[in-house]
Amino acid sequence: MADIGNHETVLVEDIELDKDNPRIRKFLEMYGDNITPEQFYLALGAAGDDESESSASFEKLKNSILTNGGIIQPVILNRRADGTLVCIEGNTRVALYTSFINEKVRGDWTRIPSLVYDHMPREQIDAIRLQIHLVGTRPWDPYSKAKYLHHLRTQEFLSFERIVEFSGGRKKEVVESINAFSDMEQYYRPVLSDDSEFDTRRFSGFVELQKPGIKEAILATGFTLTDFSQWIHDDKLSPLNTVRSLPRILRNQKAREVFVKQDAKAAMKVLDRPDLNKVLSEVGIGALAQALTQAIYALPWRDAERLRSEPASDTAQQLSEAASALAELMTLSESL
Amino acid sequence: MHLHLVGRIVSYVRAEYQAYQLAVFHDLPNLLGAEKPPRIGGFVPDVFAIDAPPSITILGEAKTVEDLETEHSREQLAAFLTFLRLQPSGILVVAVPWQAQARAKNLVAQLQRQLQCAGVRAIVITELAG
Repeated sequence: MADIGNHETVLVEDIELDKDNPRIRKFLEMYGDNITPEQFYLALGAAGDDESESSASFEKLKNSILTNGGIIQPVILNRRADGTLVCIEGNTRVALYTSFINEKVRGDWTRIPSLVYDHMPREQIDAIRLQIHLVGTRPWDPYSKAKYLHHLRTQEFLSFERIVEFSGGRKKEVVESINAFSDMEQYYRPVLSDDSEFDTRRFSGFVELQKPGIKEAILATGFTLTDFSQWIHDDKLSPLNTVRSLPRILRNQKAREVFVKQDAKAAMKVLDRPDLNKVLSEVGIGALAQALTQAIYALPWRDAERLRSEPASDTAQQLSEAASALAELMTLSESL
Repeated sequence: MHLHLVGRIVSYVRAEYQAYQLAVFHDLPNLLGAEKPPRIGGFVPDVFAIDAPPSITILGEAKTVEDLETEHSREQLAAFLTFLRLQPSGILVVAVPWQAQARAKNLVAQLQRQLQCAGVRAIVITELAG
C-alpha cells in the first residue's frame, strides 16, 4: 500500500525544484542556476510534460493563481531522509510563488499547499508522475466547459471579466461558448426524440452558429434555429465547420434547395466557386497569404469601392470570412 | 473627435446598462490587447455590447458631422439596424457632435422606416455628457 502523503502548507523557500527530473534536465542545463518560472515552464513544455495544467498556458496559470490568491490543487513534495523537500509535481507553481515573493506581488506567497510524502522511493515518484501525466485528470469536453460557464454567468452572476480571469481565454470565446450552450439547450434538445440522442460532440456546430452573420442568414432566409438544430441532428452540416458556409448557401436559391434536400457538401458544389483543392492544394498558407496581400495591393480603386458599397456581395463575404479565419488563426498563434 | 465620441458610447452603455454587466467590445486605442468588435454585415461597429445568454445586443457607432452625410454611413447604419432587428432587444447607439443630433435622429428614423426596423431601439447621444 503506497504512502498517501500529508497535506501541509510548506514554506516555499524550503522547497527545491526538481531540476534533476530526467525529462527536463537537458533543457534546464541551458539556463544555468537561476531558473525563472517561465524557463521552467518552457522546459516542461519542451519535454512534452505540461504538469497537468495541460491546455493552460503559462500566463493563464499565472493569472489564475493571482486571481484565486493561491493554488487550488496542492503541489506534491518528497521529504528526503535528510529532511530536505523536493518538488515532484508542481514545479512551475512553486517557481511562480517564488517569483511572486521576489517581485513583491501583493498577497502571502511564502507558503504553498502541498501533499508531502516521506522518503518516497524512485518507483513511487515515477508512479505519481505517470498517473498525473499519462493518465491525468480527464479534461472537460467543450460542452461541459460551456455548461459550467453558463452556470457561472446565469446562477452565480459573475461578470464576463471575472469569468475570463478565472477561466483564461478571451471574452469573445466565453460569450460564444455560453450562447452556444444556451442555443443547444433551447433548440437542439427539443428536436431529439429522447435525451439519449443528445450528442455533446455537436457542440462545435453551435459555437460556429455564434460567428457573425450565421444566425442572421438563417433567420433572414425564413428558417429558424430549430431548423438549424434539425440540420445538425440530421448531419446536413458535416463537418461542423461547414456551418460557416451557411450564409452563402442560403443566399443562393439553387444551393439552398440542394442543401435542404441533401446536405451542405452537395450545396457547396452548386456554388460557383473554383475547385480550391485541385488548383491550390500544392500552395502553402504563406504563399497564399502573400498572393492575397499582393492582390489587395493591386486591387483597382473601383473594385475596392464596389466591395465597400456592396458588403453583401460574394467577394465581400469571402473576404470577410477570410478576415475572420485569419484573425482567429492569429489569436491562436498569439496564445501558443 | 471620433475617439471621444466612441468613448462616450462606451461610458453610456456601461452606465445605462450596468445591471446587465454586458461584455463590451470596442476599438479604443488606449487598451492594449482589448478585444475588437466583430464585423457585422460587412462593417465593423465602434462598439459592440452583448449579454450571454443573449438578452440584449447593442451596437454603437460614432459619426462626425462630415461622416454622417456620407453614403457609407447610411449603408453602415442600415446594416447595423438590419442586424439588430434579428436580435433580442437590439439597440443602436449613435454618437454625434451636438450640432448633428437632430440630423442623426432623422437619418436613423428614416432608415428604420425604410428597413422596417421599428422594433430596434435607436438612441442618439452627443459628445456632451449629461
